[in-house]
Amino acid sequence: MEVKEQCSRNYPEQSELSIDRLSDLPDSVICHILSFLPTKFSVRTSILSQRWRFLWSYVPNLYFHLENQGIINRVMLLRRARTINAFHLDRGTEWSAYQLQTWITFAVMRGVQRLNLCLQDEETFPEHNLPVSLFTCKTLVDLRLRNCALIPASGAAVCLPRLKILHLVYVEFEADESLPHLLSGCPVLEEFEMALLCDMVCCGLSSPTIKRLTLDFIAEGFGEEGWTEEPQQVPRCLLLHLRIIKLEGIVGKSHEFEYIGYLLRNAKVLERMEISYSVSVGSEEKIDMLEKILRFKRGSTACEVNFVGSNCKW
Amino acid sequence: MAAETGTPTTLTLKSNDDELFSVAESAAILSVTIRNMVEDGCAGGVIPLDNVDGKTLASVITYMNGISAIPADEEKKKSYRDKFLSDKDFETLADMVLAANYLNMSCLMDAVSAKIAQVMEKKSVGWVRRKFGIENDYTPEEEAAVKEEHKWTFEGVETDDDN
Repeated sequence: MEVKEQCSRNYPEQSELSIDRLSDLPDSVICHILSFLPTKFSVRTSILSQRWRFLWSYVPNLYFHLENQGIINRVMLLRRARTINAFHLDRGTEWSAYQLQTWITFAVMRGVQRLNLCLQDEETFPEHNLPVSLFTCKTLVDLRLRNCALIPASGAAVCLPRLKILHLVYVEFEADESLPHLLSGCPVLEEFEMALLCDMVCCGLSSPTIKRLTLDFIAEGFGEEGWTEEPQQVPRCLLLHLRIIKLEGIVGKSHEFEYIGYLLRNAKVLERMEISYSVSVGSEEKIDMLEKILRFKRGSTACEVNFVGSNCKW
Repeated sequence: MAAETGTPTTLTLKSNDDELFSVAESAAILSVTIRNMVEDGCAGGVIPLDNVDGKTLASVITYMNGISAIPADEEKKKSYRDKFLSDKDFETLADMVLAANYLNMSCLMDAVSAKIAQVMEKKSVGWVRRKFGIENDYTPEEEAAVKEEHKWTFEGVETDDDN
């Protein structure tokens, strides 16, 4: 009590009112606020008072950054919530393929909705499989995989009935048909992002429902030979549904213009294309690229082309 | 949605300090609490919102109007939310999270909670205790035990400074 009185005296009336009301916050609201914090911080709030001691253990989201495997396992075992809404492993997390499989299985069993594995470990990349249960997870809405996955070939069952957002960056595909097979199991997918691999665009990227597409050109060497010939059939998503396309890490190579031209020409309901340059591009090169891109024919007259960072719209 | 048919309907909302506000029904039903009242036919006269003061309610209504004017583009909505919350101090955010919880407005609740979390993350234990009105009811021994139990979370953290 002493602490509270001492502090309150220093604050004006309005603040006191808010503080009194904040101390009455329901546990559910506190857990909701804590769910936006890295798990390390939410566990730390156990020091605040008796009431806060176990609140962290009911937080539905787990977000680990720079943690070791022992800590992650400890948190998983000590938490009391029955479900996991979000499970996020960030770069710098210590992991092994075996542990990763265990954590994913744990999250899937607890109804995970958002799974974000943004890992970096070039030594183990990418020769390991994710648990098969991940690809038939009925609760998953948002799946982001980076540097940590091998997408299985068409033999594996894929059924992700609620998946709306899928990001695949630096993942490996077991076979050419891995991506179309995965997408065929996502009936309500709206947003798709991937690091560009040339053959994936022509033979793999087709979904009847995608509205937002991001292609990342950063992967050096991938797809530089461009298309030997353009795909015969334009994917339905391009024709009918795609509203936003983002292209990242553009450096001005000819295969990039080929893709940009193809996308602009064939996306019939496109509202916005955002192009962000790689940092290595100089200002004169930018103007050349810009002029070239603006001359491309557009399938959608309403389409706006934004060059991110230059604040220009055409 | 009811707002899509016929002429736009206006609702009158009353704060707990008796201020009255007019707001388009199509914007107000972002609040599930208000939407339920409308659907149950209880929104004909003045809708009393006993847990929200006038200053906070004015702010919530600004948000309702702003966000409902943006078409279905999640990125534009997000940038509106970020801008809307950018100049709010901690006390205002505290009032907003309580109002959003009472009004059952998940998009505002998420945005304000995320903002409060963002502020908390950079602050000391002492600051969080003060701002949340938390009385430290641990004995020194208990506090030391909790700290020991989760010592991995306190590495490099000073627990009793004022920042």
